[in-house]
Amino acid sequence: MIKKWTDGTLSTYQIEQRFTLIRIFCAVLISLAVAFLIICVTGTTPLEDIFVFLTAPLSSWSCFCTLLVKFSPLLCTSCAVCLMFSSGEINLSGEGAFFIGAIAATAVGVIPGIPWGIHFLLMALAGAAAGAAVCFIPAAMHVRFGVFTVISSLMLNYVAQYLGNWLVTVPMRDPVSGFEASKQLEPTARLTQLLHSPSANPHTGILLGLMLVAATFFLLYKTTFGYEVRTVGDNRKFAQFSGIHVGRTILLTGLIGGAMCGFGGAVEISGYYKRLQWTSMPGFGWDGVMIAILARQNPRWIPLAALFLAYVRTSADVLNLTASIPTESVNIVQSIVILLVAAEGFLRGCEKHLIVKNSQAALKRKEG
Amino acid sequence: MEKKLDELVLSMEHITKVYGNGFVANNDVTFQLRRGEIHGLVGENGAGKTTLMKVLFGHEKPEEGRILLNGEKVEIENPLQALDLGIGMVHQHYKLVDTLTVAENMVLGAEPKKGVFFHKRKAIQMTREISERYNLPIDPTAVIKDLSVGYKQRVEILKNLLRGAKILLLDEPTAVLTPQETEQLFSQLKFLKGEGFTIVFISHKLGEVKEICDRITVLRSGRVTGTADVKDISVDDIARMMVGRDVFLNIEKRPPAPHGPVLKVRDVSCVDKYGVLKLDKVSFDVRAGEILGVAGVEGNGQSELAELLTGLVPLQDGQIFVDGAPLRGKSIRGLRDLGVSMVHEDRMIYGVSSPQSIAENMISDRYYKCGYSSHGRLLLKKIKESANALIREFTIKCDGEFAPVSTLSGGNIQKVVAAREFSASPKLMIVSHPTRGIDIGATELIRKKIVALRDENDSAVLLFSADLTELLTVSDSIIVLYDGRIAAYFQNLEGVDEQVLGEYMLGIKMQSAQEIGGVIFD
Repeated sequence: MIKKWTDGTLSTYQIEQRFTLIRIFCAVLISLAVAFLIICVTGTTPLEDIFVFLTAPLSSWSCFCTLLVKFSPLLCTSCAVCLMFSSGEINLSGEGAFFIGAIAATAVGVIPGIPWGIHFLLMALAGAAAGAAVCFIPAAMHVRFGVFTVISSLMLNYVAQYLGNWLVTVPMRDPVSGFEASKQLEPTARLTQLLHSPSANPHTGILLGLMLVAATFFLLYKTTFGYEVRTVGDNRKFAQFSGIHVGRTILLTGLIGGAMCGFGGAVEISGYYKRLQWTSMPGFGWDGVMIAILARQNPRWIPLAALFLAYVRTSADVLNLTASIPTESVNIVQSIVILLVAAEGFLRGCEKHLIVKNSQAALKRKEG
Repeated sequence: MEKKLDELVLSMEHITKVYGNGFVANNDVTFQLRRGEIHGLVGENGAGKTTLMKVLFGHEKPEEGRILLNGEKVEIENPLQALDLGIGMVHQHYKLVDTLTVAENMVLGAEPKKGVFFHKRKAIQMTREISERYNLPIDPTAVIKDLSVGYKQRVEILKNLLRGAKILLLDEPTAVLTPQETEQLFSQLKFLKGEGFTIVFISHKLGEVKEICDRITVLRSGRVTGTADVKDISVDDIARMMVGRDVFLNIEKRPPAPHGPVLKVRDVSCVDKYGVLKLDKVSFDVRAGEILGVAGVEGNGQSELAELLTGLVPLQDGQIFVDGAPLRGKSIRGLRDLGVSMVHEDRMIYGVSSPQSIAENMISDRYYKCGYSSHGRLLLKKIKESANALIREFTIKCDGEFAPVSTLSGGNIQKVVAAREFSASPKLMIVSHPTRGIDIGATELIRKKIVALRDENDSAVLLFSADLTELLTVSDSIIVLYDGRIAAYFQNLEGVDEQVLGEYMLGIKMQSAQEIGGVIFD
């Protein structure tokens, strides 16, 4: 869509578009600089450590596979958050939906006697249905009773967590295992391994995730439903006045977003685990929020944003082993990126200066 | 030119102001005020009048230029500094706290104290003194929300006088006033001028400028196109300086050919959330091929009526029929499907979604219909084509159909709204304040399109407007609302002028039930 004006100047719109990219780029750079600073302060061999930090995920086959394994579960929740945030609903129950989805999928996954393929399909359906139910609750509470979605969805995660813990430790617990975990999944319930390495085996879930990203993009930008979602998100009163059913759109977005999270949970369980043994929530719902913000709520950028997150996390893991740098330091990097990307005012002064100068130049040129 | 330099009380030189969205609001503007004059600052909406005054009042920081007050260079960083320098501003939208009394509003920010407590009696006394001194009577203990618009404005003026303002900036003070209130304001301003105050009168109503101002400065798209003594020039001259060409706001219009009623409103009453009766048994018809104007001072039930008719609030009492079908219980989608188009008075909230593109804004009422989507998939190519056709038809200035609406000027944003609503070929068109705050070019276009809708599409049009000139030029018939009731119905507008409407708007006169009943065609 970038087209130059006939007189060679940029339009204000184009400058704004560029600054969106510049802003994210700078945010990433600054956060990496902070990461280097942490490495320099805490490590004994800073130069080597920085090199490891930058290249670790690509340094060996196993590290690369680890990267992919970390990458894959981020996709589904990011899509869900993208969709729900696009409708203007800050629905944070994705975390709970992922968890409950994984549990529902496990419940189906331990049933013997279902042929391969169909088994995963049933697990995915169960996961999606359970996830949809979770994210639907805050959406419905908002539409029906005007409850703030942020608060209700945040609280709902606790309900999901303790309900999940109970399900895993009481009705679904494997009595023969020595620790708190569900029964083993049937072999027919496991997704195919895509690649093999000593430390991690990426599974076909990564392809399903990427397909979901494409589908979400299509849904948001090419369909009437996506148009409704974005219009409701950008200006709810305008949507209402135009005749769009705002409440219905919010409810549907909650359902679909929750289903995506639950589906993600099912994929993760069936791709990576032999049994469900989470005693706390895995955090992929929160990661989804982070990635959706990084991707500016456009599914197109989800893979890139998710890759960035998976990359720094893999690096941090490696550093944790080779140098005495705590894995948690990567959290600082993440927070800085999010903070800067979410900060609307970041570099705004620069942007305004450029726009002003550009307008003045255009004016002078026009007047000869 | 043997003007002495010390006559100049204020001089703004070479002011350039560019907004964050790249809009050049003032371009090398020089503006000078003489002591004790009423200076008209005129220009179309968007010409940069308000921006220039915001620079002077410290609301906006200019990119270039300097301000001299009594020959000395001053830096005005914020409104408080401006007030300290004796510059006061009466905004278009009054900055008053509705739930406080007049006296409390007057001293807000500089309250008289008795120890640590607010000295209420002192505040009342100060208010009374200043209002007597400047011959602007007001009740200091009245609560703002109970005052009429004219009195609210008086409070704003007094507030500035109390703070010691010597230069008063009035931003379109007459925009919301009735003709009678305007007259009152003018005599007050003349009195203040006699007391030695310098007044800047911002307006685009040329008759008023001619009547009250000593000198004028005309702005056009951010530049000064001239400064003159008012007595030396005619209204036509000013108009030409404003627009750069001759203006014909008088629309060529065939006599209407109305037939069967499309909208029937019967005994509609409505109570607001505070329990105040806003509409009291209002009944009227709008016929196909007719433009019915609704006049009234703001707050007399027009907004409530518009919100009922557009389905934004549910009908409480009475009945409304659109093309024979009852409106009760219909969603807005349902209403639109009946052939109703609507332009809300607040275009930024209800008219557009500003982060989205022009094309997306143009399909918000029809994206699900055949030709714009099929099986749930948007037909992006066709949407783009139809958007481009509308952009051409309504001469919308933009980068292209993909540009976000936020990058457009006010007039072009309203054109986007009009393009969408008017192109739906409505049976009934409900338009609220379609040209409020937009430039003359866009105003002209939108008014013509309203008339074209009546003539070519045989639509019934209900036009709400605070601009009486607009009502009188565009409408075929007019009803006047006063205190939630229809106070008058003029089936044809011969002999009806702003003065006549004003009397009914203020409740000075009221037609008989039989005359008002003429608006029902059963």
